[in-house]
Amino acid sequence: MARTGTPSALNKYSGIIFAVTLFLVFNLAVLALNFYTSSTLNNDAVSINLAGRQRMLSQRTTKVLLSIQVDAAQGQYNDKNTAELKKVASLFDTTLNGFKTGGTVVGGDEKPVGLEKVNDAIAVQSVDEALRIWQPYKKLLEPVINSKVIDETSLDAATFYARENNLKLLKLMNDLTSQLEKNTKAKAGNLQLIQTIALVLSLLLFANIVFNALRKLRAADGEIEKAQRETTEILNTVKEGLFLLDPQLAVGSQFSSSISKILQHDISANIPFMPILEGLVSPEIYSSAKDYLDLLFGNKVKENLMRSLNPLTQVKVQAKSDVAPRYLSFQFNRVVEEKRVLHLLVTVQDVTEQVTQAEELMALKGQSSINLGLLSKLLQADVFQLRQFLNNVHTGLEAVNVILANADKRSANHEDLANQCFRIIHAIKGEASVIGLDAIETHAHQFEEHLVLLRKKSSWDAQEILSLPVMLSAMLEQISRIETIVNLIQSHHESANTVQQQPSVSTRVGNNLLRLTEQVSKNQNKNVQLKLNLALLDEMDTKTANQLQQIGIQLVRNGICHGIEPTAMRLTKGKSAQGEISISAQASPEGVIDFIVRDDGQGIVPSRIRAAMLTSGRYSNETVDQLSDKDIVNKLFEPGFSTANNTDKDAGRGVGMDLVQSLVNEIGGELKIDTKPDVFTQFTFRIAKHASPSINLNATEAFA
Amino acid sequence: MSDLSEKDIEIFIEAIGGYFKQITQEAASIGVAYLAKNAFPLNDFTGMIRVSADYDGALYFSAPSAMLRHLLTVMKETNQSEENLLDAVGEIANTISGNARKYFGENMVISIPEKIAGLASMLNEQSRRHAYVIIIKWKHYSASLIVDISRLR
Amino acid sequence: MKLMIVDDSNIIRNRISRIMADAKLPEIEIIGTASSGTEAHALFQTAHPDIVTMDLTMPEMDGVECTTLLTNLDPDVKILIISALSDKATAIQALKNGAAGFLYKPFTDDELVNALLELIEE
Repeated sequence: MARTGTPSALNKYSGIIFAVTLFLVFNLAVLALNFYTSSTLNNDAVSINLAGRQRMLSQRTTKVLLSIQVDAAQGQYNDKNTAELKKVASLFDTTLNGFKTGGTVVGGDEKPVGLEKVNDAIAVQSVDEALRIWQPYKKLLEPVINSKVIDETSLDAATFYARENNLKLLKLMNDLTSQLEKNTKAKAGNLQLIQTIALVLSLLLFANIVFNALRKLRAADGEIEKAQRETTEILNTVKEGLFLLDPQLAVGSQFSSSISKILQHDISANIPFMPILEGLVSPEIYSSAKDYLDLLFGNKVKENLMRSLNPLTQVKVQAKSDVAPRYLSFQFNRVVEEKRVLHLLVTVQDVTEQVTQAEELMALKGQSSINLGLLSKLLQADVFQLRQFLNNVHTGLEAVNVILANADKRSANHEDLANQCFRIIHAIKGEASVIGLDAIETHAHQFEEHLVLLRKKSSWDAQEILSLPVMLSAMLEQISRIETIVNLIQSHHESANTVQQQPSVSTRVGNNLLRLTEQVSKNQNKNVQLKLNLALLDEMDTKTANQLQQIGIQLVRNGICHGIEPTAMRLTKGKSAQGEISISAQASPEGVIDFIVRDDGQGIVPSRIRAAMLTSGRYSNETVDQLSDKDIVNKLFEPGFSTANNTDKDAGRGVGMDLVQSLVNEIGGELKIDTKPDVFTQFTFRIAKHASPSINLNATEAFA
Repeated sequence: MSDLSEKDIEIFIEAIGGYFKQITQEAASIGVAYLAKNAFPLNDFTGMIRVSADYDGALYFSAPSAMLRHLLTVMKETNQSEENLLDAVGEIANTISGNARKYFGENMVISIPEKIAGLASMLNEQSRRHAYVIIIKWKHYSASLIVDISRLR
Repeated sequence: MKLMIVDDSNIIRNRISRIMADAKLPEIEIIGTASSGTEAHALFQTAHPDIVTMDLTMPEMDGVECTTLLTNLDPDVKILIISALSDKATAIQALKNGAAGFLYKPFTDDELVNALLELIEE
């Protein structure tokens, strides 16, 4: 879990900080309001008290005045009364004026007190009315107050006015008091309401803060708990061994539970690591590892270099409890703080499976071509035929190698080189398919495909030049593995005294061609019967017989692919559903031998070849037009000529006829083609007379 | 036991090409490549590097003395004694295998070059049934690189 | 910074000198070359180099021994091991004995220059 830095902390807590700020501001506002309220209510209380006092003062004024009058009627003069009248009248006057204009008046405790002028309409009216009554009253009282003797005239006037207005004045002051009280009550009510609302809001805010804070705390606790739980879970379940190593090379307190199993040693916090390692690896590795760990803690050598020097990558270990050696991969990462290596984070993996798997895979890859299918083919195949085939392949591949080795000595261009190799590989492919060695056939096919690619290029780069011996080597390896197996099979046969009778050449070639026909017609989805008359082959030397077989292979393949029509088409042409190919070796009375391959297919029709050349897209209109019919047929013998639209193992490489021609040249003789559209095609190879010494009436196996 | 791929072998050739390019500003190129069993095109001076661990066999770089002299001249090395010619052929073999090690990884352990003056056309021991022979061209000289290495694992 | 080259191969010594001359690094100046550990030891005491390129496989005294000797004389000397020996144990051994860097042979010009620059940078 990532630690939160300052900016993100601000961010994380912004909500709560905002809420707390709002709460404080709000509470300050409420406090200010309270101050304001209580100060206004204080003022109001002063006003109410003073208004109440006015009631009393008005009555007192009248009472003292009347007392003076009573005294005067008895002829007495009490200056105490006069003084009191002065005091109460003056007090009433200043207070009343204070209500009107605001100002400082003497309070109940004889101290000056601030009085606010009244604002309320009713109160103002009461004050104004009271002033209207008071002003003349005051004027009438002045002589009474100022007289040091009994002044009955002034006294009577004042008393009269007092009697007349006293109750009015009292009522007005009473009204004023009530009004002020009423106002204050209303104000206090409002303030109370506001205070209540503020209190509620503030409580809500507080609750919100508390709730949020708690939630955040709970979440944080949850996260920490989760992180801890996850760490524990990881450490408990992770397959890799994980632990920290301190500079004293002791294991830290946190480590994955798998580590004990991987190291085959009980691990606990602070257990020294080196003795455990010592029990696992060789002394050389141990001493290297010790130095290596010291260098890691030294932190002098760069991490990259250190990583490349780790002596404990894929290290072979064997603990006392291990039955077989295992492979472990240790990885060390420095935990650096201020250029000091505090710990090493050690990751250990048991890579035994990968290592052994890789080994097995490599072993398997090395023998990829020896699979069960191939093995069963080899067991079924005729050992003599196999030997002969392997010999042919060897000869062929060696010829390819010679071509490669002399590649730059000849003036030959790359295309020729590719073609030469192609012919040889194609022959191998044909023979392999005849014997049913799919693995070699596939290999040869890949080789061919590669040669086709190279044939198109005017120059080859290093990889392309190299690819040829590499493919060659791969085929040679494959062949030599098959040879080993063939030897085993043969020795088995010999020891079991089940040495196979060597079949005659004609039978062998015949069987091969039958197998080929079956296979190719199945691939091409055609119905073909092969008729054979090859007895004469038994009288030839094996080399010629093999070469004729090669010719047969190519022509039968061509016959099925290009000659014999699909069944439906044959039926519309009024032919039998099953196509027929016949191969025969016939001797003329003059002793000349003809090797004839005939099919009852669609024939070689120049116009069809032209059309096929055009649709293949490989030839232009002009090229095709310029060629005579004979040229067109001769095209069939050019290397790389093909009209097949897609290439498969059976046809489309355009090498078959090229190979036939070169075999014909090798044996010596003439090749003749007879064909009739929709009826037949016949290849007649008349073997030259000078080649006849190769006829061997008593041929035996010449291959070892 | 399995074969090297053309990519694997190309690594060696690239290394030689790179070496010549680096030292002489003129890359070496590949002439022909084929397989050899017995007859190897060895020249006057040969540097041999043995490989081990996951691989087995050796790699040879064999060059005619004229080519090495030319190389030393380009390197402005005036001392063209046999010792220095051997030094040069060893250095090339070393470069090739060292560069190749970057590709093949730690599982190919490479020996210090063995330097041989005048060698028969037979290798003392051959690891592969067929070793790869690659003719390397630099200027008008031909040197040979023989890769007789097989992969054990 | 003064550089001393230790290698038993003429060609390598010359090559390192040539690479350093080509690189024209103002901070590095070659003060001498030695073709053996003994020679290096002697030259070290008179020329006091700050950096050394050291071959590992040399007759008489090998590179690791020579490294130990030189770092004992001057613990601050920065030694770059240049070797074709690719086994880890050798490299670890050399680093343990005071070498500061390791460069595999063969090296390109740039690799050598970078390795030396990295060495002084520390």
